[in-house]
Parts: sequence; structure tokens; C-alpha cells
Amino acid sequence: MTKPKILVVDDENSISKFVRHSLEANGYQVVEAATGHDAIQRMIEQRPDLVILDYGLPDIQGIEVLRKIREWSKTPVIFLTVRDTDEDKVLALDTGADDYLTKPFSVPELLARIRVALRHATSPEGVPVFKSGPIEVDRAAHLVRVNGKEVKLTATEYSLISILVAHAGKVVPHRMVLNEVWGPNSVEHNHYLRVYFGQIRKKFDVVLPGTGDLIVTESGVGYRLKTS
Amino acid sequence: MAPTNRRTPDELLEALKKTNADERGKLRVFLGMCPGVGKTFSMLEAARQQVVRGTRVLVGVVETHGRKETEELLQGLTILPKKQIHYKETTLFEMDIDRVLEERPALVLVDELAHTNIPGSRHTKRYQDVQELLSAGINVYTTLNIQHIESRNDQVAQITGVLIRETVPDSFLELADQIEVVDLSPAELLQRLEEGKVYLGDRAARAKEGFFKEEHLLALRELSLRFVAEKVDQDLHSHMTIKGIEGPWNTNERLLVALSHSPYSARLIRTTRRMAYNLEAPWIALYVNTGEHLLKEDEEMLQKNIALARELGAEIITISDNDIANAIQKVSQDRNVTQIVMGRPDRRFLRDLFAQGTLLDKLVRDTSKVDVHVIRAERKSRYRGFAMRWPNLRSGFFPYYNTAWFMVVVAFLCRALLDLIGYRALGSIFLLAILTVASFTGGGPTLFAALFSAIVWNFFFIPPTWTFTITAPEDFMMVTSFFVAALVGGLLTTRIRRQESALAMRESETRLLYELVKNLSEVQNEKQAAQILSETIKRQFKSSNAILLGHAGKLDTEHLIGKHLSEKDFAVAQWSYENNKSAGWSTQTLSASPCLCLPMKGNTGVVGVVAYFPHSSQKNLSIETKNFLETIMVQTAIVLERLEFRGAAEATKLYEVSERLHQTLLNSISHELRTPITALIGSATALGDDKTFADSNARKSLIGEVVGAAKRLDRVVENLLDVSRLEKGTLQLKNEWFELGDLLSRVKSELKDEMNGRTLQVTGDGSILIEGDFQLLDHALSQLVLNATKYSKPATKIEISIEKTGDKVRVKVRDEGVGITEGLEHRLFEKFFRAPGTPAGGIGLGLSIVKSILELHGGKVSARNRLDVQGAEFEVELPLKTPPEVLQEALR
Repeated sequence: MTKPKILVVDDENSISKFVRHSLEANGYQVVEAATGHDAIQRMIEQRPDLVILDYGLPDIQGIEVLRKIREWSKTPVIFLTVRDTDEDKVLALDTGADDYLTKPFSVPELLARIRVALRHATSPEGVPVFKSGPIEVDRAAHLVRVNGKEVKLTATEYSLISILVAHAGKVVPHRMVLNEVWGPNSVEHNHYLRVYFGQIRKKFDVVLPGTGDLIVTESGVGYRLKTS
Repeated sequence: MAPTNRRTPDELLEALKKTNADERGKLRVFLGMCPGVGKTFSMLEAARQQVVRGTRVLVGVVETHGRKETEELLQGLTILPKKQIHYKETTLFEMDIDRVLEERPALVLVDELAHTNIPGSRHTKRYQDVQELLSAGINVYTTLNIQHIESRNDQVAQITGVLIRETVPDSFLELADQIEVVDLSPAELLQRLEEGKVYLGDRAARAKEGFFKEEHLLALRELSLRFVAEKVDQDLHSHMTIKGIEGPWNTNERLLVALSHSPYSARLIRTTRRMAYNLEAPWIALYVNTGEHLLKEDEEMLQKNIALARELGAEIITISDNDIANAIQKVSQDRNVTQIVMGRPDRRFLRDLFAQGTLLDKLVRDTSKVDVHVIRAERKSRYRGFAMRWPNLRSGFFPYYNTAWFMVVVAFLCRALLDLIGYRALGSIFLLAILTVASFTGGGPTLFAALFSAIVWNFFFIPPTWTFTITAPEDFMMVTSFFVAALVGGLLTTRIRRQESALAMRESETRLLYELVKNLSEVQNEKQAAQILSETIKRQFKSSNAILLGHAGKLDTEHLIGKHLSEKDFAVAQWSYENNKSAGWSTQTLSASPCLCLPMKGNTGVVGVVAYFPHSSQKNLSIETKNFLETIMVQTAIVLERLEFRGAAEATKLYEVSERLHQTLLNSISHELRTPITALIGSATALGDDKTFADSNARKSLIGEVVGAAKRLDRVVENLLDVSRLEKGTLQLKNEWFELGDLLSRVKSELKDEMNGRTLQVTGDGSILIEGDFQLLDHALSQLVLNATKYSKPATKIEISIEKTGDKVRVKVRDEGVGITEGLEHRLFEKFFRAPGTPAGGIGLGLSIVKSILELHGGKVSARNRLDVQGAEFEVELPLKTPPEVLQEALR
């Protein structure tokens, strides 16, 4: 089996160096690009399986590169941003990025995201994921189990956890959450999401302490269900 | 943080820098004794030399008068097109000043300095145009004939019999850097005239007969050479910096010269200035206002003299006093004058008799500590005639009318009293009547009353009655002496009245000045100051006005105080501001304007402009008005400067404070950053050593250090960013609803590593819903918990308790540490505050950030010592809002 090829786009040498080393050490092939135009070039030439894209590039904005890529490719893209740029993250996710990482980040985090992104890319479209770790969503019975035991959830809570599980490991932006659960144009619930998820966490912890921590709040962007 | 909307001290200093005298252009005058000596020719030659040297030369205006040689010299020089001016259905041409100012050449040639411009030009005279060019820093070459110089104008007229009207004031020529005589011997000149090189044809012939006689030319030549010699003499002394208030004074000496409207004053002024230079002493030019009414031409002469004295560097003093000698004495005493310069007085017997001697006599007699220099007269001054000036006969119709009726009544009264007191005594009644008239009217009606009385008395009452003859010689004497007494008394009375009214006016001026100064001392900003000035002018002169203020070299035309100005008026004001000269009505610049623009000069330069709109009946600005306006403007200008300085001082202070804060911050930051960086470098380089790397325990531990140090660095950077965002005030809360317990458990899990053996316990109802910015509140509470760990020992307890009271929720963070020093509980939340005895490190920003965050949420934070055990308690208070229905539903 060929090693998955990852295109790393970053103009900071210090960052691309340790990314390359850790990726290669973990069995990935690495291709590098330092500018947006280079990146697009490499995309066409090398056809990587995943792209790690930095937001701030010298020639064109990372978001522009993303847009261009998305015009003709569904290759998963993880992009790198800095803190306190929530609007940028949401925009990138809306433009088609799969996930993001905030600088400074640690290598385990990076590897985890890559794994998640690759898994979601390779799994066939039609099979929705129902299980992630101890959490299981039973669509037929319309209930959720933790470690096999049923957890009593409200309808809203059920929908919320379902979508997280369906995208297990990936960040689900607020808008997607709201869309799935309440339909489009339902922005008002945005401010209550934390409470809802808080309730879910509490219920999970009752059954299996620590499970609640699997639901991660990506402040200002969305929610994510942690996988290993 | 430096305030960004105020100017920095540097900018301010730049703006307040005075226009340096060095920035003025240099003026070189080619002076000739008469037309045809070759002034224009010489000027052009000199200009061409400059061109060869690489100077950019433009020809503003050059008259060749059809002389071929001159025209040849113009070849190759850039001639600026003239400005067209339409005057009375014809189009005439004048030099285009604006064009020259635009082009900014190094040198411009302007022929015939004395030329009068066509009405509609900016200035009345060409020399004023040149003045403007010089102020803009452009050098000028110009030509002039000796007859055009004002002080020599009379002499030339005397010599040649031809009076030239276009003159240039001496004060202007004082500004010239170089005056050269283009000299030609009369014989040569006459030769040239013959050859047709001066005038052609008829004109030449006429010239030869009139102006160009040899004896005339000789005299004119002498005049020109002498003029330039004087100038050279002055130039020798001009290197001593005695102009205005600067300069090393020899304070032992001080000179004084008394000015008047006499054209002779100019000579006295110049002589005094020369003497002052020689002695390196300051000098005063004094004008004594005796209240006498001056004829228009006299007043103009006086203004010119004062201007000349001012330009030459005198201190101008104006004083009102009847008695000139007295005034001179007073000023001399006040100012410690040591030398007085005056002209040789005329001797008029009668006047001198009554006045106890001439001015000179009086001065010499009364002042013993002062040297008096008498300067000889150059020529006889015009004999003025009557020592006592003819009174102003024009009083208007009503005074005469009323006087007439009054006298008629008095006449009838006399008729009634005739039998009682006899005809002789009637004289006293008439006298009384005349004096009454004098107290209420002017000289004319008084004279009229005197005549009337004399006639009536003579005709109706003195025998033989009904005739004009007087038989008794004693009666004749009586009538005559009566008449003289009446006249004198009447005139004196009117004079007293006039003086009284002048005094009253001066008093009101002084009072107004006092009020002005008092009000100005209380103003808080420039607008108020300008307002006060405008009202004062309005009150005193009953005329509308507008005040414009200037900043950093630009006139603020947006915010003016007073009357609304038209665009044209603005242009005049702008010119006045930029050139630091008065312009508009009654001046010689832009005189068609309805308003008079006066620049307000403070100590450091022009601070604004006053636009004064005179009454339609006023023709000219009287000296008193001018002086008063100047005085109040100076006062206001000083106040405006003071306000500006104060603003600058405050800005500087704020700047200093923020500088200090910056310094403190930088010091703390560098420490905060250096510590983890040291750990990073140390640990990483240690890992670089093969042996250390091989030891897996050491390796793991060092790697842990590297990560830990890096995380700490990240925290410092985050802290700083938070501070700057909070400072800017642009931080927007990302509000959402959440459970308080949620927040606290997050805090707890984040700070797991920092606990170091301490226990963290959360008590109370965690299900309380709060609306706020989760991240910021997380930051705030984490900071409090971190603080608790810093000031308490390991193995101690940290408690977080939640309490709901009414519409507020209180979160208390309690530790078992050292507690807070008494009295410092409030100061903890100040920026950069570090309580004494705190462990090293830390910027001291943490708690101030917490405070800001809480305040943004409408809450607060406070600190105190615990009462149960030793330790600190930090209390966070947040307002409780009712959660929306939807949310409450979902939670059921």
C-alpha cells in the first residue's frame, strides 16, 4: 500500500520542518510548497491525498488557494490558523475546508486530525458513521448508548449528538449543527448550543465518567467529537 | 499609551517655529539719478551673469522703452507672460505675481519699483508686490530713480522743478540688501541723449530743455551718491543684531525721539537709529497725542513715520497728553531715557511767550539728567501760519440752529434786564451765553454766538442804539475786549470739552481693556478667547467683525467666530495671515475689500486674523482705533498662545506617563519572556548532547521542560494580546449562554498541571445559567485560580464556591495562602501593580485584566482577606439575567 501523500503548504521554514519530520516518521509522504501558486501547481502535478494549508501566505491568501482547489477537487484540506480568528475559521470551513488547527499546535493533534480527515475521505459516501468510541447512535431505535447502556436524551440532544458522531473527529461548524437540528435560518439557537451540549456531557458522565470530555467545544467555530 | 488625537510635542514645536529672517529673499536695487543712465541695462547684465552661474532667473516685468541695447540683453532670458487686467473697457497688463510665486525662481527681475499698479491688482504699488515676493523667499532685482524715493522727493522737485508723484517709502528701501548707483556723469548722459539712446525724437528735445539740464543732473547725481553713502554707513552697523527685543543691550543708554506728523520726523528717526546703533542701545519713538484734530494728510504722514520707526527697530510708545514736553518727560523718567533727539524748533514769539518757551526750552529746563540732541533742519519747514489752529467750523446744521435760537432768547432777556442793570452789564450776560454755547457745541457755533452777541449788543443796546457806531470810546474798548474775551473763552471751552470727551473715550478704552484682560484670564479654550475678543471689538467700535484662528501655519476657515465671511473675504484673511500684514479696506493691499484683515501677532508668530468691518461712513482707520485694536489683539494672541502651550504641556505630560508605563511593561515582559526562553534553549541544547539524549529518563524530562516552557511563553503572549485588545476597547463580547458549572470544570481541567498537589474544589449550584463570553470568563477565573496557586503552598486547598443572591451570582475563589497585605486590597487590580513581597516574575497585568473582563460583563471583582483562616478571597460578581423561554424549555 502506498503511503498517503500529504501536501504541506507553509512559508515558515521552522514550521514545515517539524511537520515534515513527524509526518514522514509516521508513514506519510510529504510534498512541500511555500507559496499559494506553488501549492496549486503541486496539487495538479502530485495529486496528494491531503493538504495542510497555512492561512497566511506571501502571494495569495490561503482562503483563495482553498477556493481554487475546491473548484475541481474534493481532496481533504486541513488549514492552519492563529488564535482569535474565529471568523476566518468559519469562513474557511464554509469554503470547503475539512478541519483546522490553531497555532501553536502539537504534533499528536496534527496526526489525529490527519487520520480523521483521511478516514472520512476514504469511507464511502452512503454509509453514515454511527459509532465512535463508547458512544453509539441507534438510528432505528432512535436512541443513544454509551458503553452499551442507554442514555435518555431529548429530541434536540439526540440530533445534536448524531451529527457529531456522523462527523466524528472533524469539527462541525455552528451553522452545520443548526442546519441539521433546526433547519436553515435558525440562528437564535447559536447562543444556546453550549448549554445543550453541556447537558449531554453531564448525562454521558453519569453513565461513564470522562465521556463528556469527548465532546469538545471549539470556541467560536463549532463542536467536535474527539476520537482517540 | 500615547494619545493619538493630539499632536506630539515635536509637531507642535515645528508649527510654532517663527519664519526665519534668513528665509526672506534678497533685494538688490539699481538706483539712478534720472532716466537713461542705464539702470535696466545694468540689471539685465547682472541677471545674465546669474544665469551663467546656473541661477534660475525669470523676468517679471522689464521696460525697455524702445532702447535697442536693452532689448538685446533680454534675449535668452525667460520672460513671464503678464497678467491681464480689465480696467474701464481696456485691457492692460501688469506683472503676474501669482505666477511668479508659483514658479518660485531663485531670482526675478522687476523693473521700475515705483510703478503704481492698475486698480484691480492685488496691491496698489509695485513695491508691495516686490515685498510679497521677498517674503516668499524669492530674490529680486529692481530699478529706481532717486526722485522716486520719498524722503528725496521734495529735494528733487526743488532741484528740477518737476514734482514726481510716484514714490517708494524709505522704510521699504531699508529692507534692500544692496543698493547700487548706476552712475553716469552728466556730460556722458547728455551725449547719450544726443545720440538718441535715451529718448527719441521730440521727447529727447523736450527732455533736454526741462529735466535734463546739466546743473540739474549734477545736483541729482550728488543726491543719489549721498543717499547710497548713507545706506552704506547704516549697513556697517546692521550686522549688530539690534532689531526688536533681541540683542545685547547696553542698558546704560536709552534714546528717545518724539515723532509727529511732520515729514521732518523721518530724518530724526533715522538719525536716532544711527545713534542707537553706535551706542548699541535701545531706542524709543514717542508719539504724543495732544488731542488736536489732524488733517488727513498729516495723519497719513504720522502713520508713515510710526511705521518707519517700527521697521527700524524702535519701541513705539503712544501717550495722550496736552503738554508735549510733559509727556516726553514722563516717558523719559519711566523708561530711564538718557538721550533725547529732537529737531530744531521754530521760534514764534507769541506762542513761545505764552507757552513759556519752545519745546526745547522746556525740555532743557525740566530734565537735567538727560542729554538733548538737536538735529539741524535740512530746509525750512513750511510755515504753518496761525499758532492756534483754526477750529473746525463744520458742526452740522443743528448746533447752529439751536445756537441761533438760544442767542435770540438771550437777546430778549437782555432787553428785559436793560433797565435794571444798564447796557454795559449786559456784556456779562452775553459772555455767559457764549460760554454756555461753547460748553455744548463746537468752535463754529461759538464763534457764531460771539459775533451775534457783539452785533446785537452793539446795535440794540450800546448807544447810539439802532446803529453800529459806538460813540463812547470806553464802550468801544469794552466791546472789543468783550469780543476777544468771548472768543478766547469760547474756544478754550470747546477745547476743554474736546479734551474731556477724548479723556472719556480713553477711559472707556482702558476700562474695556481691563475687562478684556480679566475675561481672557478665565478662558478655558480658544473659542472662548476669540468670542471675548469679538464682543469687545463690537462693543467698542459698534462694528461687526470675525475672528479666524490659525494652527500650524494654516488658517482655520471652518470654525470662525463672528460675522459670516464671503469667499473673497476669506482670501483677504488668508493673505493677511500668510504674509503677516494687514490687508483689505484702508490698506494698500486688496483695498477694494469690505473688511480690514489684521493679523494677530503673539510672541511666537501669527496666531490668527481679525476681520474688521467698518461702518459705511468711515473712511479710514484713525490712529486711536488702530492702536486700541492692536492692543486688544496682542492680549488675545498671548492668551491663545498660552492655551496652545498648555495643551502641548498636557500632551507632553501624558506622553511621559505613557512612556513610563511602556518602560515598565517592557521591563516586565522581557523578564517574563526570558525565563521560559532560557528553559527552552537550555533544555533543547541539552538534548543536543548525545549522551544526555541517550538517557531516556533525562530525555523525557527535558522534552517535558521544553513543552512546558513553550506553553508558558504562549500564555505570556496571549496575556499581552488580551491587554492590548482590552485597552483599545474594541473587544467585542462573544456572548452565549452556558452553565456556570461548565465553566468552572473547564477551568479546573485546564489548570490541572498547575495544581502541584493542591486540591481544587467546586461547590454550589453549577446549573445556574449565565450569559457571557465563555473564553474571557474562563480566562478571568483561571487567572484567579492561578493567583491562588502562586500565593499558597502545595497541599493546601483552593475552593471555588457559587452563590446566588437575588439578581446576582457570586463566585468566590478562596485559598489558604499568605493573604493580602492590609490596605492593598483595592490596589491589586491596578495595572502593573505588584504587591511588595510577591515572588519574582509576572507582569502584574493579570488582575487588571480580570477586572476589565468583569466590567465588560457588567460585573465586578473584589479581594479581601479571609476571616476564618489565613488566606485570600477573591469574589466575582455577575448579573443574572432570565434565560429565554426556548432555553428553559429545552432544559426541562
